[in-house]
Amino acid sequence: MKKYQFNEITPMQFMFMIHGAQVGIGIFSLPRDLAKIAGTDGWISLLIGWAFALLSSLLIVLVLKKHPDSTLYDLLPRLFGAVIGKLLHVVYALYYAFTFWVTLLASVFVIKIELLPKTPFVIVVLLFALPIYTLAKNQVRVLGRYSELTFWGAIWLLIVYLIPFGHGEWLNFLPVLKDGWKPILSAVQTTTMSFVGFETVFVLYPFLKNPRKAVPCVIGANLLTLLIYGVSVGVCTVFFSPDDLTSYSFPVLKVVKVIEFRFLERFEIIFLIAYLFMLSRVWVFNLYCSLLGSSQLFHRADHRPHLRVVLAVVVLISVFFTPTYEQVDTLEKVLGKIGFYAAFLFPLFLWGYDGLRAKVRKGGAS
Amino acid sequence: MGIRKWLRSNSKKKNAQTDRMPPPRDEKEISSRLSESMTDLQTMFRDIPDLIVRPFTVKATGAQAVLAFFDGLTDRNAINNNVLQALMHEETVETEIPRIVTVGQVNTASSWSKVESSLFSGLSLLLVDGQAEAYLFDTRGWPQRAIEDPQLEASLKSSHQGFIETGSQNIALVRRYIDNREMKIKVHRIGARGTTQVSILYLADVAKPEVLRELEDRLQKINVDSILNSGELVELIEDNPYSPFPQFITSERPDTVASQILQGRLAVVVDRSPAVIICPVSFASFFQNVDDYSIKWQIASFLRILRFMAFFVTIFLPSTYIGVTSFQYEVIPLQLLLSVGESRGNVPFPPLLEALIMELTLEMLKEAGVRLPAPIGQTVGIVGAIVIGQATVQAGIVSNIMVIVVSLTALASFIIPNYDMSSAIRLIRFPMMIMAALFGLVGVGVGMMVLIGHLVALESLGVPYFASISPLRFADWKDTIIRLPLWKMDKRPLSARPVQETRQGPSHPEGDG
Repeated sequence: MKKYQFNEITPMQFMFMIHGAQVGIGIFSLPRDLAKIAGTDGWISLLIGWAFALLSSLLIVLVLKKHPDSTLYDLLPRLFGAVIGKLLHVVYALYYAFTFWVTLLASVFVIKIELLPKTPFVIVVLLFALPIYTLAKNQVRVLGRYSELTFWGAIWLLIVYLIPFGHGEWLNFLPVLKDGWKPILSAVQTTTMSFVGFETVFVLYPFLKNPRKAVPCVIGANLLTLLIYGVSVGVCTVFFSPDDLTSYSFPVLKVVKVIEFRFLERFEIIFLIAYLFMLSRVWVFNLYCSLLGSSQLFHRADHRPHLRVVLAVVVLISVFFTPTYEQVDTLEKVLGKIGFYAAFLFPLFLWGYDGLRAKVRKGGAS
Repeated sequence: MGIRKWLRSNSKKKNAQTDRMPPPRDEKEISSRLSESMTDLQTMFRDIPDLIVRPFTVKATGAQAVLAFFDGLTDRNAINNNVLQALMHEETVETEIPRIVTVGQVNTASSWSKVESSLFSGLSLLLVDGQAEAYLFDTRGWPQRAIEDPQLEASLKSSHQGFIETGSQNIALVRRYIDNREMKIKVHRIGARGTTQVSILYLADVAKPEVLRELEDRLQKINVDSILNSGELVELIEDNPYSPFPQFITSERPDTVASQILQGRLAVVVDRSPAVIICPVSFASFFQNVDDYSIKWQIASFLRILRFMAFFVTIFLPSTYIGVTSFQYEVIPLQLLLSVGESRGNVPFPPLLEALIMELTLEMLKEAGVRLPAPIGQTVGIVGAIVIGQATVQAGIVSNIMVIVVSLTALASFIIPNYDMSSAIRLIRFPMMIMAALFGLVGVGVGMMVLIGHLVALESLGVPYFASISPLRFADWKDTIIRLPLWKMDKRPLSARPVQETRQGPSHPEGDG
């Protein structure tokens, strides 16, 4: 009997969910971070980072394909035994929760600076806890619908974002490879991190209605993310001069400021509010992955009590801890480091381990 | 959820109290001796004077008999001419009662419980001496309204027949549209004290059996005194009773119901209620109207898009106004800002209060107009337009722009063809306004997020509320946000969960014609 069959998501929803878990607050500073290291050749690093992310997410799908109908949480004890399996289970649940917390914190930080400068930090966190609770209390199928709806609902952002291309200086891209490959390769670390989020495949895969479509879906999700990152990096590169670009903390938002209508000014406010929907996906999907793990750990069918606890803790932390820009930056760096292990190294290890284990078993049997 | 648990425990306590239930039905058998049965009848229906008991002798057999029926629930003509006349005066060679009586439907009963429920539903009872079986004649006929134009769902060009309060008549009205053997009816009886007959109408070869079973399960779980109208039933069987959004459509139009049944949905006819429940439905179906199909498709599509815009205007216009005027005024260009400022200049209230005053006034006006008889209702309109609209602005209580915002909101909310949906969104705009007053446009954005999160989580009989939008299915868009020509809609919408997907063959001439 399929364990997750009442919560099936369509391949489209699967794709949008992975994509949704990837594109978050990092995009606002991505062009600057890239420009700092790789200059105007950041787009090459982006492509390389994308290739890594794609490879890693395909590895995840490959591993899970061999163990149908199980999430990472089901798989770990089976592969590593009860003790280490449980330990990794906890680590992953915590990792997703940490991702949720850091992305929420970073998003709230940006929103607060840009839109609600006078509102206390904790109040803004409380405000965002509302939609998070409404969404995360539901099952995967609802989150799938949300991801689909928000994707189509937010597609106009991308179209609007193409407007500044017309104002840009295309020569900024040249010369290609002006400093050689070294800065490009060192920026890859940044770009791979911005693709992190695909490791939600670990949890979402068994909910997919048609697992055979997993591979195209994962490729599609990464492509969508690449498209969005590519557009934002590209627009920022042509729009700002290479030196200018590094001086803004959120160049992506700065670009939108040039868009103006006769009836509407300061378009970046609308833009940022609409972007909230994209951000909410990162929070909610990561949180859900964590909650699924924790409720499975305690053998609970209902994940809502845990959700309430997590949200309460997050709000409570915000009462005492209002992060500064540096702290948010540090937290994001820490998340990036952990993400490297959780989303890139571990899948590789898991794939190798699983393959070896299967081979040893086969060898033992014959 | 503390409150929910508390509510649940309370309802459990109530169920445990057995004294709530009516006395158990008499399972006693009917005696073959008339005098004994008469005593039973009299003890059962003590203090019920509208039960008429008429003893007489059956002419054909010479046996003693008693006819009992409820005055007012039965058709006097039928009783006098077809029952009493036939039994007391008709000279026949027949000795079997059903052969003598000239009534369409004759049943027999041997237990008092069946007799009791039949009498209350308008049948008349005949007890004959020497027979342990009672005869029940269908002589139903109670006061009922003539068929009228539906009030809530008036239409311009579609039919002008609306449902009435008799279930069997309503079923007949639907049958006039679907004269097909595949339209089946499942009958359930709900209510311990006032039994309501609830009939599920569906196309057996189109509607999905799982959905039907789910609906029947929910109906069987109901344990209440009585269902007075279909709104009560909806509240008992809908998926999420905590949501302000309607999850089933109740319609008073036979043609709407027929078209929904043809798409593979289920219709629930509740006896004594002029509103028929349709399920499962999707969010988009609340924005459709039968008239859409009797006008040109371009116009219908335009109207539908207009309604969806109205949905957003109703919910977000007042809140956006509050958000912009109290937080993000830099969004509007200077010229516009100046005129807004000029208009708001001598208003002493903050935007939220200003908006609340006007929006609540609007709701009051609406509510005052609903229940007043038409001649007085007109005065309400005048009061609203002149006193509130003009005078409040002149007195400097609200700004001109606020009056525009409120009137637009009201207009937009009245465009939504479904009353439940338009009430729901009118309610939703208040929390939105508060969010906007607290957090500006961010609050509106977050409110929208909560709203969308809530809407995508809703289901109607297990079918996603946002079917055809998310999960996306472009084939269904032919009849959701727009309406394409009828001959293009060759598939039934997936949101109805039909078994038979193809609706029609090519029905439009091909080629240049």
